[in-house]
Amino acid sequence: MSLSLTLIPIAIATTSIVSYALQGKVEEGAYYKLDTKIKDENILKEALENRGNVVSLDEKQIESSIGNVEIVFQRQEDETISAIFHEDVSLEDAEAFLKNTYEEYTRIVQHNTYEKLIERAKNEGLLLESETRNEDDTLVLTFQVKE
Amino acid sequence: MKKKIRLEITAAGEIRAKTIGMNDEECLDYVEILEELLDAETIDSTFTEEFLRAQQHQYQEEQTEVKQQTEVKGE
Repeated sequence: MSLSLTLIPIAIATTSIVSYALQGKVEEGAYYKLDTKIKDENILKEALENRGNVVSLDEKQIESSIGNVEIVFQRQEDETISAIFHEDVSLEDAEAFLKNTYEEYTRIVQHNTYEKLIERAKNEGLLLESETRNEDDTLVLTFQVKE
Repeated sequence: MKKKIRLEITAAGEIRAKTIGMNDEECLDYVEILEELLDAETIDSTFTEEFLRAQQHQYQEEQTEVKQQTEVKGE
């Protein structure tokens, strides 16, 4: 081995340490906002739908509802997407909702990364030698470098 | 040793990559290649001991060569 790298897909922000954080109250306290590391609205829409939400996506925001609870997602200046909850939703419930959504989001990111890698590797002279999935759901792939 | 790349894609989305059997700066080319392949950005990179040993060996060989050339000129 000669070089070790850690990479983060562009669909995930690298700036924040936590996956979601209370950012502050908006609109005179009727709503509050939680920041996330989510950057891709299409993957977010898929993650929300996979978890049973009804989702609509337009240019400005994503509106999501599950049961009688509505959540709005808006893109921020740093390219991340924040979630806005009504104050009737407890912070504990909002954080649990985002934790589950983020786990589904990263599961999709993992799958998409794998698909892209398999599709593109041959063009870079990389031949898949082995592929396994660990107990913690980490995919391990070894490629031979064509010389 | 055959040249290989080992990749780990975690459920949290993070990707860990290791080049194997590349003892020269060829492995650095794979930083950009992997970023493009994976649509990802590198947040951390470290040379392994194997790479550093190879670099040190190459440096020592170069120093020996320079010394020998200097001695030849001095004669």
